[in-house]
Amino acid sequence: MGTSSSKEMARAARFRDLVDAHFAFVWRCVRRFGVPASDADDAAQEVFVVAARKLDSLESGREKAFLFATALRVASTARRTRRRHPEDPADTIDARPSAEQPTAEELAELVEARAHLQEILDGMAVEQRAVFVLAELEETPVREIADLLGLPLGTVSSRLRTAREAFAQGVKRHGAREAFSRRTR
Amino acid sequence: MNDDEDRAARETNAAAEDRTAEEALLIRSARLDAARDGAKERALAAGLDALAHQQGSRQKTVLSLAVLAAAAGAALLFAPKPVAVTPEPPAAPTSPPSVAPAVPPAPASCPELVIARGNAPLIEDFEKKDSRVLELDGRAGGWMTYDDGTGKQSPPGRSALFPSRIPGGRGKSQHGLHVSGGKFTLWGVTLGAELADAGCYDASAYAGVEFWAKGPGNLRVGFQMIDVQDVKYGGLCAKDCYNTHRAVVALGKTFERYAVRWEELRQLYPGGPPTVFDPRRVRFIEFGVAAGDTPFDLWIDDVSFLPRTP
Repeated sequence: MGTSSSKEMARAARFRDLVDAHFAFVWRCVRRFGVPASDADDAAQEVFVVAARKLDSLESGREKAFLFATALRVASTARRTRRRHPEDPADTIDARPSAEQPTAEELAELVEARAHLQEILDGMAVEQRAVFVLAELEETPVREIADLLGLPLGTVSSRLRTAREAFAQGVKRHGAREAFSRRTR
Repeated sequence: MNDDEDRAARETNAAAEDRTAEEALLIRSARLDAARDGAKERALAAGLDALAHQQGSRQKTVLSLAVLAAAAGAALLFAPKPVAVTPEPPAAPTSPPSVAPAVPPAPASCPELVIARGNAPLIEDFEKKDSRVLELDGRAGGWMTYDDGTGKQSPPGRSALFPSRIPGGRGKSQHGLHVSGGKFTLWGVTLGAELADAGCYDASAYAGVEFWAKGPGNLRVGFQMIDVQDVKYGGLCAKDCYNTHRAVVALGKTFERYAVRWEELRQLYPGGPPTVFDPRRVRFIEFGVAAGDTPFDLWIDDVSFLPRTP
């Protein structure tokens, strides 16, 4: 009984460490893969419930890769569900800063920027989007990305180049739309 | 660090250095995105619950094992197959960017230019399910709508426009753009699309534009040149901007075909460059309802350039 209890405690401790280390990462991933702010908490929670259920089979050192893959699946399901329920309220952007404290004006700018970023990401193929999110938004080194995605380094680099081009093009397109939309008469 | 890693790291540094202010802002906005207070604690609690439930199930299983031992052999015969975990299906590949036709040197003030050949006039028939314009004759862009913020419209302002089913259809056409709204008090409502994404489109191979529409009400159809767009947003206009070249057509209650030739486009307000429309420097096609013509209920279908007659 004592052994069973200590095993239980060890599993709980491992799970706590997992949440502590990766919750913010998982939450941002589901957001960047199209889950609106209003549903992101639930989606991130779902990822960790899946992780809890599979904790014993989770290979040590592969936790982040598992969480990322699960986050992609959960986000995909959440997006499909949302499409089936068009009466859902429009996406709202959570403007809460984490590490920095922008001014109110900067905050408004960042909220708008985040919506534009999401439009650009939504236009990327999922393979490009995955490497772009990890490399540019999560600042993950390419070696680690290759490890997380189980891809050769060259493939990651090539996808990242394409994704960066798509991002730059998306930003340009957005600039053009701003020019169109800012009409005053 | 091997050669591949070294190259990747150099590319990452170069990408960071080359980043425009707009790109940097978008990336920063994502890095500052964070969950609501308490979300992490709720996820932890839910996961620990799942662990406890799993543990409870195991204990129950152990206790029941002796009772079930006799039936186990039989049960195994009917045991369900393990559920296969299906991998994430790959997203539909995005269509490759359309290849622009021959691109001769751009005019000095139009940073990127796509020159139409004049061989594919159909801009959009709205029979696809997406909001992108048909990628023909070098065109690339998406339909969206904007308004002055003083009223309400459906779909709401600042959103992408997707085709709507035309009740009863219009001949062979089953879908069109549908926008409706209440009273606006500043400049009204605009819907439109880029013709060359972030660049300019030289539409001089064509003679104008034709489309089917119904209202009732006045509709402004126009082409926005880069010259009338504010320099702050990538245009070339410093003062009295957005005096887009337009023509006003009076729509009836049923679908009719309307055609506007380049020479019929006029700037409807005084001031603002330029005074003559130049189809070689357009960025957007736009349809608009002036504030004075709201409320409105507008359908647009089969938008096409007018071919030049020999």
